[in-house]
Amino acid sequence: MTNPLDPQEPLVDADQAIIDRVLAGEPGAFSILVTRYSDALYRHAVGMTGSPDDAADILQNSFIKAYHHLGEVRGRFDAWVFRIVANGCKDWLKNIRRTHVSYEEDDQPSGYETPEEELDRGELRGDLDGALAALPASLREAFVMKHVEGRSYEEMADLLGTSVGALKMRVHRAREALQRLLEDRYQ
Amino acid sequence: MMMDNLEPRDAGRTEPAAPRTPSEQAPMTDREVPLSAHHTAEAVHAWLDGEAVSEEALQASAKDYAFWQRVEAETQQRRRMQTPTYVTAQIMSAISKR
Repeated sequence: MTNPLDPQEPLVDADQAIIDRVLAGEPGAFSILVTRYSDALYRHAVGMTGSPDDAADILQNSFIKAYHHLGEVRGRFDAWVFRIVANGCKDWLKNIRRTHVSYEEDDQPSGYETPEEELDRGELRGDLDGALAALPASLREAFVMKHVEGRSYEEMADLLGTSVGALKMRVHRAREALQRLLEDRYQ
Repeated sequence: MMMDNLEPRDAGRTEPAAPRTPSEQAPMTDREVPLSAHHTAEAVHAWLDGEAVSEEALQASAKDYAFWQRVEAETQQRRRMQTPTYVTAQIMSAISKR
C-alpha cells in the first residue's frame, strides 16, 4: 500500500500502466497488482475476521471482483481495491454476527495453572482476537489499520475518507474497550 | 448534525418517532461497547500513536504501559503476516477460467 506522506506518485503511475496492460488483453499482468498489494490487504482481512481462511476467501473474491471492474478504476488502484476488501470484511462481519457468541459469553477460565502460563503469548493472541471480535466494526477497523497494518492516521484517513481526528478517536476508543475486555487477565 | 434515520423500528412510519432514551440515541458504536471504566493513560495513547513521550510519563502509568507493550509485541508479529502463496495462484486461476 502506498503512504500518502511519501512521494509515491511513480507507483500510482505504474499501477495505471499495469491496468492498461490488463485492459488491453494481457490478464497475466494483473498478478503484479495482486503481489504488490495482497499482503497489506490480507493483514487487514485477518485482523477484521480473525480467521486466516476467511481472510484468504475475502481477498480472493475481492481481487476477482477488482479484475472484472478494472475499467472502472478512477484514481489510486490501492485505495480502490482496499475499499473492496474492507467492504468484503464488513459483509462477512454482518453475516457472522448473526451467530456470534460475544466475548463475555465465551470468557471461560483458561485452565492455565500459573500466571506465567496465563500470560503466554499464544493465549494473548487468542484473547486479542476474541476482544477484537467484540468491538463494533468501525472501531475494529481503525485499530487493525493502526496497529496491525501499521498505517499512519493520514493514510487511514485517505483510504477511509474520514478525518484524522475521527480516526484517532476511534483508535483511542478501541484501545479503551480492548483494555477493559482484557485487563482482568493481563493486568 | 443532520443524520439519516436508520432505526429499523421506524420503517414505514410517517408520524414523528417517539423520543428515545439517551442510551438509544447514542450511535451504535457507543452502545455496542460501553464506555470503559478504565481509561488508558494519555501518555500511553501518545506513545502508541508514535509521539515522543518521556519514560517518566510512561512509568507513571506502568500498568497500562506494560499491558500495551504486550499487545504491541503481538500486533508487530501480525504486521509480518504474508498472503499464503496459494491465494495468488487461485486468483489468477479463477481469472484465466473466465
